[in-house]
This record gives sequence, structure tokens and C-alpha cells, in this order.
Amino acid sequence: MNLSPNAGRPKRMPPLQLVSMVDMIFLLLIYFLASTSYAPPESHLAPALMAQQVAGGRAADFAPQVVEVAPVAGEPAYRIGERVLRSVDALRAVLEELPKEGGVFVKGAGNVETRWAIEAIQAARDAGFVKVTYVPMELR
Amino acid sequence: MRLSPKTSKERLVSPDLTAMVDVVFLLIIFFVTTSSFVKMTRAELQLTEAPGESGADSATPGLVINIESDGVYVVDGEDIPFDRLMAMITVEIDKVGGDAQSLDVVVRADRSAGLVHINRLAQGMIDRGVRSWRLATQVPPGAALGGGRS
Repeated sequence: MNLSPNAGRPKRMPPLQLVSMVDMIFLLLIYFLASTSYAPPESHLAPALMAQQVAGGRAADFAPQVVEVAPVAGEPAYRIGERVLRSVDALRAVLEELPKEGGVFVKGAGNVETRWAIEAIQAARDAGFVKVTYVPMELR
Repeated sequence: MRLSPKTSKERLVSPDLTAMVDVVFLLIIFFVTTSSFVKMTRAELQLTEAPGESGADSATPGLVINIESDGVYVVDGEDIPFDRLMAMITVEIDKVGGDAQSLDVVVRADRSAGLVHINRLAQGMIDRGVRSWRLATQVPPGAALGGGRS
């Protein structure tokens, strides 16, 4: 014999705390949105690597173009043969005119900033060179 | 007099809060873990702004080497002397079965770091048979990822 006062009545559903759940979800959303915005998107350049002595002694049907990144008259510059270029736009314009079959070697001197070499590699890619090789210049 | 066709008791569907809390905690753990991983591999550097090249970002790098503006090499958040860095590269080559060509190295160099540090690292990798690497760039605002002019 059931003497409970609730006997025979349907059980009442406890109220779902949707407000707190939505609060938490929004807090998480805001946190992740804020934290991801601090990491700027990165990309990569993938030049081949080659030692200087190998690069200098190679004989091929198509001679590679050589871009030297080194100080000229105390200021960093790009040198292709006798031409000295002071901006990456000028370098890109010159590279666009060159034959692409042999590829291009980018040689970087140690006493310039990294960005000069990376911008030269990017310019070579932009100009249409498929084979881009980085050659570290001898340490002095 | 009740005319409703329902004669049996309405079934109560209780929300399964346990499963929801489980999922939320899993998400928290996932994001906390991955964000700390990014911090470990990526030092805070001012990378050179360049769009990079398409197709160079696909593989997960085997080794990420950061070069700070003062030339300090940093791997997994730890300053590494050059000799130890070379030893690490040798270990990584062994991990990929001794084939240095298949080792994927990403170099993240601060834009103002001297090229001498990259040259030193590049020469060290060449001496160990590594012939390919990736140089990290920061995509300029408004530029497409890997979207260099072609």
C-alpha cells in the first residue's frame, strides 16, 4: 500500500539550466576567438639547400641565375651579375626577364638580415622560378 | 470528461547533462593541449612578411627551429646551443630511418636576425645530408596564404 503523497502523480522534470550552459559556451567561444587572433597566419618557402663549393663547380646546359644578397657600399642589396638592386620589386622585375630553365641560386652573406634572403627567395618564386636553391655563403 | 486520446502517462525526457559536461571538458582539454603545443614549437618572432608558396605547408614538420633576433636557436621553447642542435638534427634523421632527405625541417627566423645564423644552420644541415627545408614567413594582411605571384 503506497502512502506517499505523490503517489499516482507524474514525476515533475527538473528545470534545465540553459542560461548557465549558454554562458559557458559563449565564454569558451570568446576565449578561443581571442586567443587565435594573436597567432598571425604563417606560410612557408621551400628552397633546396646546396653547399657553396658544389654550386660553384656544377656544369649544366642551363646555367642557373645567381642572386647574391650582400652589402654593397655598406647597404644590403641584391646583385645579379653586375647589376645591383636595392629593392625586392626591382629584383622581381629583373628575375621575370631571365630564363627559368636553370633555376636560381640565392646566396646569402652572413652580415645582412634574414629578411633580405627570404624576400629574394619569394621574389624568385613570384617571378616564376620553380627551382630555387639557397646557398649559404662561407662564414667569415 | 477527458477527450484526449492519450490515456497513458506522458514520458518525461530528462536531458543528459553528464554527456554534455563530458564533451565540454574534452573540448577544453583539447584546446588547452593544442595551444600549449603551438607555444612550444612557435617562439614569438617577427617573421619576414611574404605570402610563401602554395603546397609548402602540407606536411607536419619533423623539427621546428626558431632563430631569435639575437641569433639564439630555440627548439620546443628551450634555448639550444649550436652543437646540441646539430645533435638533435642527427637524432631526427635517425628517427626517419637515416634518410636525411625525408627529414622535414621548418626554420622560423626573426626577420632582423643575422643571416649568419641561418647560414650556419644551413651548412650544418647540408653536412648531415639534409637538402630541403622550409622557411617560415608571415602572411601579410590581406594576402592569400601561399599566394605568391606566378
